[in-house]
Amino acid sequence: MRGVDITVIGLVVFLGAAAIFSWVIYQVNLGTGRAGETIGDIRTGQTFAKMENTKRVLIEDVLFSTHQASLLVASQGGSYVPQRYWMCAGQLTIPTEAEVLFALSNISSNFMRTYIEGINAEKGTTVEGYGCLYAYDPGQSVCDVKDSSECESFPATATKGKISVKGDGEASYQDPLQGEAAPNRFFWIYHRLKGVFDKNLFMVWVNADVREHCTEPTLNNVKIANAIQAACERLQEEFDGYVEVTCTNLCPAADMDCLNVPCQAPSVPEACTTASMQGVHGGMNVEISVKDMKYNIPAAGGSMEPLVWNLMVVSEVAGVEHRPVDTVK
Amino acid sequence: MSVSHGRMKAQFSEMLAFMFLVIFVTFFIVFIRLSTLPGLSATLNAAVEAHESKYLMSGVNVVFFSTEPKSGKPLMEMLGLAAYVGNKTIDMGRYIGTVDISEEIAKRMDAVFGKGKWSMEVDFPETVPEFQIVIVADTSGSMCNDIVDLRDKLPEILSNLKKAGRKAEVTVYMLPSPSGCCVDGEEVTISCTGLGFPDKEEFNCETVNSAEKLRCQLQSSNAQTSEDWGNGLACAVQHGPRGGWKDGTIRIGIPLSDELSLGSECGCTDASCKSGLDSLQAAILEAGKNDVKIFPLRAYPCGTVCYPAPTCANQQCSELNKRTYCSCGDTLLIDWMTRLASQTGGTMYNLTDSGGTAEKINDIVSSMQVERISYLQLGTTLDLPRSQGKRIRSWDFTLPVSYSGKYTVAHVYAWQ
Repeated sequence: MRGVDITVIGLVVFLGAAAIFSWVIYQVNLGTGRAGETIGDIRTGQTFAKMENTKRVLIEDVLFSTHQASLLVASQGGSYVPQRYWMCAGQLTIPTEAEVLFALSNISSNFMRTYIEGINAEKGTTVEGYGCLYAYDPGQSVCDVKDSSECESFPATATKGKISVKGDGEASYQDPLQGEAAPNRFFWIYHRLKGVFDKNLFMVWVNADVREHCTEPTLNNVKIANAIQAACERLQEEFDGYVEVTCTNLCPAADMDCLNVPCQAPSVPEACTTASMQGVHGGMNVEISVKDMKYNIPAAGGSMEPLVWNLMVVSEVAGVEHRPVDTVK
Repeated sequence: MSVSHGRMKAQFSEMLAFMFLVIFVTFFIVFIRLSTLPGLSATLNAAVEAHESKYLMSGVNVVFFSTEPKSGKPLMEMLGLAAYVGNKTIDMGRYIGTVDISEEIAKRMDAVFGKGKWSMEVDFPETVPEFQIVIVADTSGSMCNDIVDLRDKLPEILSNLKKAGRKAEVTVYMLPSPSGCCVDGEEVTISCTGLGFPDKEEFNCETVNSAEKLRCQLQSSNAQTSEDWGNGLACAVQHGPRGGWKDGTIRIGIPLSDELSLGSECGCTDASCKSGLDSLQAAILEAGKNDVKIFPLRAYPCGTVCYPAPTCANQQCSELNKRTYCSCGDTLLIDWMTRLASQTGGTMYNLTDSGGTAEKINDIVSSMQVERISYLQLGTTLDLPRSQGKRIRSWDFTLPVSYSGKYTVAHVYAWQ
């Protein structure tokens, strides 16, 4: 009887020990399993985080490229060629929105490509494409107003690319990378200038000043130089207090030779040399510089610089707008 | 009784053996099972490790992707700007004014990781050289060989330095009113274009006073002559090399001349040649203001001088009057250059022939020990947590900088 008891006790002990060990094994399995899953999740999360980081870096590249291009395009007068004439021999040759956008997109794409080539992505991350960058014009209706507050930024998008991350998980992204180039008043200044030049106001102001001082005993070239400065001051009023407009008279002689620049072969109208017209006949070749001191923008050389629009104006001055010769009897 | 006792003993032994067997088998199973799984502590460590690195990464992302309130730009962009501009304070224009990114970043990092529990170091971008050098060259006729030596040998020296990880940028400033020079039998002017100096980022040439942008801002000390290296150096130091001085570089100024600032030292003393001394003082003053070390090179005072006759202009130099000329430059010039060097932390070198100019510049750069620091250091330095034996987690974040196509790295560290 006592032997049986001992056997039963042994069996109970055995079962108890087996149960405890089973429980331990289960817990060990469960714990390590859960921990493994958690680690797996974290690592997969890190893969996505890496991709997000790469996206953010590339979006910064988009923004730097766009800012850098805006400085360059503005300094070239809104074009991809180094010197853009907004008036050539009296004819308006204002760059269209399409031309400005093309220049901005073309140059910013070039900058973007240098960033893509230079990127040292994290291990397992590859970046392909995204060398095609577009900027968007907020539009004349928003920008051609004296208050710039609605036109101090513009979107820029890089397309045709792919980011791939391989690690504990795989992630890829093929959609466009979009950012807002801000603050940057590139399009505000462009549309304000375009608004003035579309109506030929700059020449109206020059000619008006020449007419105003037509009979003064000063040389023609002085009258024209003064008129350019007066028009420049008037142009300044089209912008806010952060903008500085300067006009450089590149042809102090102010004669018809001023029109002889490679923008276009000038054909001087008959009216300019009509003998029956009195007063100032001449030409002008002016570089207008519009500097926006409100915001500094990151330049391709690394420094922070104000946006400067430079445009060239070549035109005959006065001409047919002069009044007839005063006759003394 | 004894039989019963014996049976009991046998049963007990049997049960004991059985229990040992059970225990052995169970342990064997547990051992086998555990050996196929990562250790519990290792698993726990790995989980903690993964969690902490994710925490660091997420924390840094939160800070970097958040917007700086004054500029409206993400802090990541601001840091990229600062990394190139070389200042924690960025001038964002009249409307926004200046933004101190260190304050913004510190505030947010403190909130995420705790005050005194993080550190950030942002590397110099590749664009920033180790050395920036301005060389002001006397352009009188006797200097021809020395300047040609610079033009011919310095590019290779700079290239070798770069390969050795010591990037240097050099701008040669030519003094105005240059003389003629005989190079390879041709008559040329000692100027950037005349001698065909390269126009590269790391080696370029400018003419002092040649254009408004290079006109010296000093009121009374524009370099006036081809030998006025004192004022010329003051101008060059004020402008810096092309693109200006950058923070974190070693700034070196080198006047290269075989005569005093106002010409020959023959018969000259400090008192009788006061205008020359004023020119020297202007250089010392500007060097001090701009933290530039001056290493004057007293050129070998003899050289081959061309005296082109009007009728011989544009003809082969061999047809021109040509002779070897030695200027006075052994006493006062050396004294003045030594003063210039000693007052600016540099050294004066006395060249013994006209072919050693570029090599001497190599010696100057090579002899300087550079201890580069991180471009931007924010938060607590790592010495403190290291001395306390803290476990430091780190993460490197790639940052684009405003210089086209370039990146740098922000090293972020955090500890508990």
